[in-house]
Amino acid sequence: MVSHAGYLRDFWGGEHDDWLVVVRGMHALGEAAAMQAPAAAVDTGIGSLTAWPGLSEADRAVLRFVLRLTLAPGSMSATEVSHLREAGYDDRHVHDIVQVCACFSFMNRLADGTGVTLLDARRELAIELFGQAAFDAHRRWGDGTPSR
Amino acid sequence: MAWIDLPGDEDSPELRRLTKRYRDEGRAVPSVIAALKPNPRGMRAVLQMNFAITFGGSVLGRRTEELIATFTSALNDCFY
Repeated sequence: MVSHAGYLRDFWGGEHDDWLVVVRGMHALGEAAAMQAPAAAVDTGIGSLTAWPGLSEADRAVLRFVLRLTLAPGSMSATEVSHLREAGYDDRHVHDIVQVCACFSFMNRLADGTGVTLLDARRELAIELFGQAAFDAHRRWGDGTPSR
Repeated sequence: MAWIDLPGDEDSPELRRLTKRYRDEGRAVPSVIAALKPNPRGMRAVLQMNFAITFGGSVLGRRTEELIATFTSALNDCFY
């Protein structure tokens, strides 16, 4: 997450504080989702992302789609695609949203299945986002210490 | 560092080719990309996939790509 939060900052185009709120909100939502049933986590997520600053309605439509596709893929339906169309996306956009989401789910499992951790070049970014303790916990996890 | 042994960046001609872009940019191979090194053929395919469908390869634009990448990673509880 930290790696792409950094890229998101580079392309954000808005207030830095809004980027921080959105990324921290995403992280908190992910941690909460890990403790919830998928359907409940989707409902929680839809409620949360409505309040995140610096996002257009089209952005929020994409995030709602990605939320369900990632946490509850079996609950996807044509209705979800209709919501993207209503937000202005055509079929090629829908296709690419699905592919980018799928690509990163693959990369996430590659990282978490092999235990690779952030390079030192991302240390400062990780600490700005989530604090020293979270970064240290990430490194301990990679070292094999069962702290995560 | 990883929980499995990973080859060096230049342990074979194929790995040397696949990691060259990072050396040319003066930076280390990102850890998650390094995790692909045990299967250079798979590594080549995944890198091609990544650059074909994201990192500017989609019609979405870089900002939307990174919104999706960051949110997907958060929802998967992947700190990396």
